[in-house]
Amino acid sequence: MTRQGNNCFRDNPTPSPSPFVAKGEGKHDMKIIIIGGGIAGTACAEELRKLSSEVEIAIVSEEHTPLYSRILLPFYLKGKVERERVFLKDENWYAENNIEWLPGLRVEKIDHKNSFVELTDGRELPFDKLVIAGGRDTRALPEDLRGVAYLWMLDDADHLLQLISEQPRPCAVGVYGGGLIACEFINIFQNFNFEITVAFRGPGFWSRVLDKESSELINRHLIKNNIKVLPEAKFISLQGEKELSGVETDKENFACKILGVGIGLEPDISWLQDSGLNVGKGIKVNEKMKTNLPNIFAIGDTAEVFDVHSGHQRIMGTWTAAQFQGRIAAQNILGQEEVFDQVTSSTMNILGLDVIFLGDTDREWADEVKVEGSLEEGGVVQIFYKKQKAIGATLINRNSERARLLAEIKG
Amino acid sequence: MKIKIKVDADLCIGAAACVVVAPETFQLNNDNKADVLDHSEAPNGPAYEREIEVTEEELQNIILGAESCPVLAVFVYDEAGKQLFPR
Ligand SMILES: Cc1cc2nc3c(=O)[nH]c(=O)nc-3n(C[C@H](O)[C@H](O)[C@H](O)COP(=O)(O)OP(=O)(O)OC[C@H]3O[C@@H](n4cnc5c(N)ncnc54)[C@H](O)[C@@H]3O)c2cc1C
Ligand code: SF4
Repeated sequence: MTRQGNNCFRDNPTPSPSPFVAKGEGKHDMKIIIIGGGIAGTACAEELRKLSSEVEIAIVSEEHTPLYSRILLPFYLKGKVERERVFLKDENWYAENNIEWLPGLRVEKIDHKNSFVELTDGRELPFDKLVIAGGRDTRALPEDLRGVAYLWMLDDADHLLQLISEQPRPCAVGVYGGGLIACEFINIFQNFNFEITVAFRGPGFWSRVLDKESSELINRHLIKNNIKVLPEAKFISLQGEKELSGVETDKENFACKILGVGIGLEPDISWLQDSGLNVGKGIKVNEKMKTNLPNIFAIGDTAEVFDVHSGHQRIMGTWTAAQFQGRIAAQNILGQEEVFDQVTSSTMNILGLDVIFLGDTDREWADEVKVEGSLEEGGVVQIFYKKQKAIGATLINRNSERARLLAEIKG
Repeated sequence: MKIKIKVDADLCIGAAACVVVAPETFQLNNDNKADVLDHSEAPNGPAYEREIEVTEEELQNIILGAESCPVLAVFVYDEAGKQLFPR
């Protein structure tokens, strides 16, 4: 089950007039529709406008707000930046750049044969080029209660802040999940001196990527920081009448007034099943961001992009990749043949412990994984190889190896 | 022209977008944060803040690097101290 954006089009009953009246032919009046106004979609629009003052650009965005930084949400929650500072664009930016911005609306259907999209308010918009930048949705627990929190959108952050402000100190809180968002919850809750229990299904964080030593290094670090860790704990149910009071797992139950849930992300591609697009976990594209259908591009978290370093299509799932893919799609829409060839990198800091992922860390795709360092040494590096070439790496408390490994993956 | 570049190390998360755009000006250090370089050099050792001489083209690229930062941790000032980015 995934969650839909809270900002549903129903909240916005007065649609603005259609941005496009008729379909154009030449580049001058080329009509480009971008689905999704996150960093990928907005970077694409911005680059298109930089390269051409003439193309017509529209962003259909389910969320109501101008572009904001999801990465700044934890800073906002911890009181390190004001809410206003999370915004990377203001409402005027779109009009100033002659970009039609359609907030609070979803694209529901793509008709690639007749080159138009259908919006949730019933409008049909024709396009010459279409860019899908719909990101990912957070996976949700099968039930809900007041006290359960997610962390992906600004609405989620506002909701979490409200919950935090209602709690007495000391207060027991929980985190369910073992990935990036679970880490963010731990850091945020620690900032408020809550008593934290973290539970996850596998033996440790990122259990599909990390080896035993790396996992154990993180678990021990959490325990050292007074976090109660429950590995191999499968969620059974929420406890509490109207408000959350605890969580039942198949291992142990724990009390909590807030439960931060970070059990994964996946692109919502259910609405694309009949579109003719080649989809797997995400929308499949080559290194030029092109889908299997002419004139349709996909970028950012929603796309399974061909990684030129590992020879493998995968969801890259990082801010910087989304942003650069947006720029590359724009260049290619306007006739260039640019390639996305970045080695992706994502970094997390869990209560002072640095975790870095470089490139492709899919264990099933790699044919060999070498380990350097150990639990005893306080740092572990895994290097993933395909046909004897390094394609990815994980570094736990081993930042100094980053440059060397990056160079090795770049080849 | 002379400009001042500053990275707010409390905000920087090591996303490396600035490094990808302007590798001659930004480089990740062992704290996983971006140091500021002067044309790939670090005279007087690593620093989060530096005054450097740049061409207009270099300035535009440095500003693109700053714009790419997901946490807006890069600040660029002109010689008179006027903030060029974030605008
Ligand atoms: C708390 C937090 C911390 C993070 N930290 C890091 C980090 O340190 N480093 C890093 O690299 N990444 C980090 N990320 C991940 C990063 O934010 C994402 O990779 C990035 O935002 C992806 O951008 P995107 O534009 O592809 O998708 P999104 O930002 O998800 O934007 C997609 C938009 O499209 C909209 N949409 C979807 N379907 C439709 C439709 N049919 N019609 C109209 N609109 C639609 C969605 O509502 C959404 O607004 C973090 C994320 C969070 C939440
Ligand atoms: S882009 Fe921003 S967060 Fe990333 S390394 Fe540069 S300054 Fe730091």
